[in-house]
Amino acid sequence: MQDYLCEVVRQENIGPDLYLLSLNTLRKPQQVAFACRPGQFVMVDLHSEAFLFRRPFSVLSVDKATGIFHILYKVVGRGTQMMANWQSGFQLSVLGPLGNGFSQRPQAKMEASKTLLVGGGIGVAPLYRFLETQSKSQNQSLEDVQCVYGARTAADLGLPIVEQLEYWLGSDKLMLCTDDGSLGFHGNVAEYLRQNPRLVEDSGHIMVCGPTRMMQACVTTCRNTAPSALIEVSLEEHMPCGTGACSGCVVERADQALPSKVCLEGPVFQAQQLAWEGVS
Amino acid sequence: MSETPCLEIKLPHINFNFQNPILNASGTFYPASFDQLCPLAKCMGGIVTKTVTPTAKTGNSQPRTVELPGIGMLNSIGLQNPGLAYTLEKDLESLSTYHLPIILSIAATSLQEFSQMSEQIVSVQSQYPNLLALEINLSCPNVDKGGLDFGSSCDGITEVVKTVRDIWPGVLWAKLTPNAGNIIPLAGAAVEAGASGITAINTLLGVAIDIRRRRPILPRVSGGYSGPGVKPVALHAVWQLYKHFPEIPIIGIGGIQSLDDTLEFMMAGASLIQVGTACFARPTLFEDIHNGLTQFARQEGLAHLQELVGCAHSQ
Repeated sequence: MQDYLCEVVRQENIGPDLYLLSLNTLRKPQQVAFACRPGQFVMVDLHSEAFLFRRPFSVLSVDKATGIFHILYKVVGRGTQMMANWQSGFQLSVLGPLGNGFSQRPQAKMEASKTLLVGGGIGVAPLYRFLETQSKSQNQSLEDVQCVYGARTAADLGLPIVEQLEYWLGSDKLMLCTDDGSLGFHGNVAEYLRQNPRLVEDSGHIMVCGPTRMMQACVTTCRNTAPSALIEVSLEEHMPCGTGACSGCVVERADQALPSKVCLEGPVFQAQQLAWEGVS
Repeated sequence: MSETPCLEIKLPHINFNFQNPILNASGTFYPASFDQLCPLAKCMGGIVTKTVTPTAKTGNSQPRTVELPGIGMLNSIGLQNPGLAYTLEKDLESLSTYHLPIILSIAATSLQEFSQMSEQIVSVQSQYPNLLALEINLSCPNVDKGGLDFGSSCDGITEVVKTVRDIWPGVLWAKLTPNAGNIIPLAGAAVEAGASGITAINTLLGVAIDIRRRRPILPRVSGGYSGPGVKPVALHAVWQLYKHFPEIPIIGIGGIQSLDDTLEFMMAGASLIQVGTACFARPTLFEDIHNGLTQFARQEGLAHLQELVGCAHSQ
């Protein structure tokens, strides 16, 4: 973890209120370029006296050679509205990488050997980063990886994101879902999983990221359909600090009395560790 | 280049010098993370633990915090902590690795609990030479008095401080609430009962409403208000305390987010300061303040930073 001084390289509006922010770490001597595991996140300083807290964002992509990394975000409040106005050259502090990230693919000889990625909205970011690292790894291939990605409309999926996912996976292993049916499956990702149990059955490792209710519905289906699969969820929470200091972002545990700090012990948890209401 | 100024702070009646006046506020700090960003052993004068209760507390439900643009935040964490036994066994050991004085923040809901906690702490004191002080968080309900906070009355403060003082021989700070009216009689009760320092102030009470849903944002309605907006209130408390109790060390806290804020608190009478809310966004703030104090002392030709404490009163 470091507090990096970064510069906005590019800011692109890729969908309704959907932005792709490219940041370059301004290296100082002996400072290493930004690196992070899939599922790790950063805390972005808004550099405004109006906002006391940084904002947490999952890292979408990292270019090791240039040090440039990318964040996918949606404008949901005044803080992200302000971010959307940042121009190239704007300098800001970015604290990271933070959190634990997804597990490595289990090496056990399982019958269900595929990896299934399930993303809703900007929850696709850590899954995108997973695909990026896998595609660059010599020991791993994307042959056994499938992805279900959904949003409200086709535009909300973000064309550059869809194009890159298709490039990595091919159109046969990328299932797109939209709530309004404007592209792909008409319905949300949880519904898609319910209607396609085979996809879940074949998976030994399932990674889910998106709105909490979407993740809860997906976990219920996945647990019932693939009881032995490793199901991991990456949680989205309001995080005042991101470093474990404030105890503001917590999640109830199924396996221990005290809740966990999402920023410190997560944001990725095994689904079975969480005491989620309504998840069977 | 002039000599490096001395940032040490000596508190009366104890044979210990803080290497600088910078502490963290209880419950706003995670040393393992912060140490990666700034060297705590150099930048800080001591570490205050999260408030610990006799047994583990799971804390309040979400949301626990509300950002108040421009003025601060509300928190309703509910003292989530692993309980005293765990803290004494595990946390104190890991905190000892920073070689800084440790201030253990404690809370309980009855005098009996305070008494038992004090005994447990004293029984391990010899294992942890860095355990310098206890800070009593008085903003907790007294179950024997209908849930009224101990810190809201002189009697409550007297009882708790006396209970702990009878057992704990070391440095003892009482952390006072600004929500119970005039702070001077409350501080007087704490000092009379044996407190060797006053931490001021704890959070103010505040409410935020979700106008879209037409209901309070926090499930328990009210939360503790902290951040830049409370600074003048805290400075007023520190000023008054120093005026009435010039011999009692004051640990100033409330909205400190810069070197200038630190200097204001010291000049108003704080010997030590605590940084809380501001370090969420700026975990390197401890180092910034440390470097700023060094530079300020050098520019001002101060041989000892201690000279600043309460200096605004003599103008």
